[in-house]
Amino acid sequence: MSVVFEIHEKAVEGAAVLRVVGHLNAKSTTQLLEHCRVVRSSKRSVILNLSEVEFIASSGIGALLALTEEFREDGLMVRYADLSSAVDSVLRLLNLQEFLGIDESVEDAIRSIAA
Amino acid sequence: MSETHDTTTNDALRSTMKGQRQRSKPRFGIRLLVTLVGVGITVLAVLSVGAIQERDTRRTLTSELEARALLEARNLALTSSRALLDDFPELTLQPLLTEKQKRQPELELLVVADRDGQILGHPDQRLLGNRFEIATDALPHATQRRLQADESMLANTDLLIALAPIEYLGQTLGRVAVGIQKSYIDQLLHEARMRQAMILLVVLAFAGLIVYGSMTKLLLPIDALRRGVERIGRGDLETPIAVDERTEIGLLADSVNEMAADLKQAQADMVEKERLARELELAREIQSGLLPENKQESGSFLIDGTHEAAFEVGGDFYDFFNLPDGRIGVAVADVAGKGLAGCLVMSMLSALLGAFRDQYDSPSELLAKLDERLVKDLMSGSFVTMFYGILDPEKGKMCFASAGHMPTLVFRKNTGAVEEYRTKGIPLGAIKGGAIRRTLHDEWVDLADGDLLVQYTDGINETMDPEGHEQFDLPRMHNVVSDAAETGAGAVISNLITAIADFRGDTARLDDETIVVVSRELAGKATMVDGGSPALIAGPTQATPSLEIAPNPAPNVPAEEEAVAWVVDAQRRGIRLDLQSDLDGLSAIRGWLEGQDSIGSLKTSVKELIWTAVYEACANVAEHGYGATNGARFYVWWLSDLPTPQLSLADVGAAEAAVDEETSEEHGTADEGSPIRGRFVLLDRGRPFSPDNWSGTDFSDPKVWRKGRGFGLDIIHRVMTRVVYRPGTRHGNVTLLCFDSTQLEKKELTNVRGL
Repeated sequence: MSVVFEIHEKAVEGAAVLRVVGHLNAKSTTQLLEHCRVVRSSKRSVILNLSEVEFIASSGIGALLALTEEFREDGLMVRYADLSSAVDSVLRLLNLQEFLGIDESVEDAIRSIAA
Repeated sequence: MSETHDTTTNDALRSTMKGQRQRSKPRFGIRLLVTLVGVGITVLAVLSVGAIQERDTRRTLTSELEARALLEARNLALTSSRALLDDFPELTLQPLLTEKQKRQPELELLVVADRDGQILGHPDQRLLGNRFEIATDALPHATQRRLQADESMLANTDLLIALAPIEYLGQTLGRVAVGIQKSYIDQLLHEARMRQAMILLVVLAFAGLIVYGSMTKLLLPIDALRRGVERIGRGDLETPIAVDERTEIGLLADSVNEMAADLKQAQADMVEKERLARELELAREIQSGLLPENKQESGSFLIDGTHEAAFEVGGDFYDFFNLPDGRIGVAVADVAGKGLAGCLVMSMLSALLGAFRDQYDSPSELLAKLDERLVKDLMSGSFVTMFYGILDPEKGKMCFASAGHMPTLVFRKNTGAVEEYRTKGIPLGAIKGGAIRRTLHDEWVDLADGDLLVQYTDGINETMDPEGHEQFDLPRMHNVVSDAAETGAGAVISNLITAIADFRGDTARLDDETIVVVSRELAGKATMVDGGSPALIAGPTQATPSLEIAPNPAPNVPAEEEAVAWVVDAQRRGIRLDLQSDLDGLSAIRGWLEGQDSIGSLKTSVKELIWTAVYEACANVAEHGYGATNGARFYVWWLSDLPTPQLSLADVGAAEAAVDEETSEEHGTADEGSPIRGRFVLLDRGRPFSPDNWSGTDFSDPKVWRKGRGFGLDIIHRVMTRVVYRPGTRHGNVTLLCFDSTQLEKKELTNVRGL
């Protein structure tokens, strides 16, 4: 049985807002990384709306860290907005909330990037 | 937080630098610049021409002035000759001169004097009778006019003076002086200059408007071009610049559009390249994970191997593993095709071997089974050569079969000779229809103390010298093996690798190179295994379910019986979930957990953490044990609120037999217990993997971020109160995860508070 995974992109000034839906596991993480790398190649920051992520595996956590580092190396930003309970629990478990750029909403994330 | 701060600082810095650039370099419009230049050139040209023209005009006017002064003087002299013959010439001359000066005010000097120099005619009658004297500053004036006798021309700063004699019948009666103001020329020139200036202004106004208008029209495409380039700078490579011009600007726009298209293609290529590199890296990691990490020791036997891929990933494969009856399986294979394609087939082969190795005692039967499965999936022309042997350490015998693989070398200690064992099996997947069964047969070889068996792939013996003339070949291998055999398996491998590298010289490795050595070490010379996997260094496993306690392989790894007891207990009391060995199959975990009353009643965040941790543990088994391929099953039990099992050996023995039966078909029943404490037990029969020595990831290390993986154990260890992996029990590999929701909630609360 294959689980649902979708990415919906919306452009805002200087950034792409990616609404991620479904499970972030080893398979879907590759898809997310590729999508974000396309955004990065266009020199835009990215906002990941994680409100509809029902599950995140360690590979998904790894992807969030790798993306943050890759975008930072290019002088761009990654903001994680509106975390679902599943994502929030795991990030808190690993004490990663202080390392990642987390916003309560997409609007806050847009403001963080514009600041 | 520091990440965000750095990025924000960089953005602010770039914005500031951009602002500074804009302030320090004022921009001028091309239209204004070209118009100013055009006007300037026009003004310069007109002024230059005007200056030359004025000089010529002045010269002409001066000449005309001389002529006029001379003419006026001669006329006046002619008029005055009759008047001087009268008695009162003043009466005639005075009105004449006054009237003349009135009509021609530029004639400032009009004098008629007799031969004695007495003034007889002057516009100012008060001067009549006075002596006529020419101004002392008047000097002779050079003229090109022909002067007659007694005529002369003088000039000072103000006047040009013509002197002419008054004659009558050959006698000179006096003379006339006529002086014209030089300023008259300046006045004429000034008037001409003013007219010229007016014309210039009108011309300039028209010229400026025309140039400005033309430039505006010409520069319109440049605005479109600029906007397009800015759009490209912002990353929009999709929208072309629409400039339909046949000028150079149009050509430039076409070039920029082509550049954007090339850039887009380059970006796509780069992303694709990165993706492929990442996938290749992943494939390499997966492939290396399929190979044994350590050598294996069993009784007096030591099995060791090495693999070097020609590319990032290769098509060679080797493995050695415990079989249920204490024997050891040894496999070496070479997939036709290297790189990613070879790696994929190799992974498939590894999974198939893992699935079937316990089911066949005959190597040739196993190879035939592998052929039966591979032939369905391999592409036409693709095949696999494979050696598979089963070592019985107790009997010192190895039974093996070869599907088109390289000859097997056996070093005999007692003779010092190297024997070659060749079989006639055809490669796996080469011919459909099971023809391979007629070609495969099992061979037996006895390995006495000091004997040593070497199996390898063709990348070893077919290594070419730098000139490409000669292969390394078997005779050289015989020599290397016989020379190093007495120092053990490790020496044989390292010496072969060194000899191959020396033979190849500076040329690149063209094929994957794999060597496996099975050596029966001399008594007292057995090599200790360094850092080996606990399962692999354990003694031979027992075929019967006897309750002998296997030696504890490492201080932090439980004895086999302890792990077996967990499984038995789980089978008796736990609630089981059967999982497929691919990652998609793991999605069943969530529903199963939700269905457990004790877990379903927990806080959502706690449930999600349990789900994540169990998923990670199961994903480890699926990935490392089964290569994340479907086709096999493994099991996880949930036991709620149970103390650590203290089963007697008799209990274990009685219950153990039921484990295999249950894990093959039936689900168990559950006893519900406390919702806050419990444990998960995983049982799998995949390939054992080395448990990582988890010490907690340092998330402040940037290398960890870039690596972006390997955090599964962090999740498992932080959610579970106890994590144990015991591979290689007689029932399979066992994982124990103990859970206490009160501990987790405390931890969660601490993290929420940021303590």
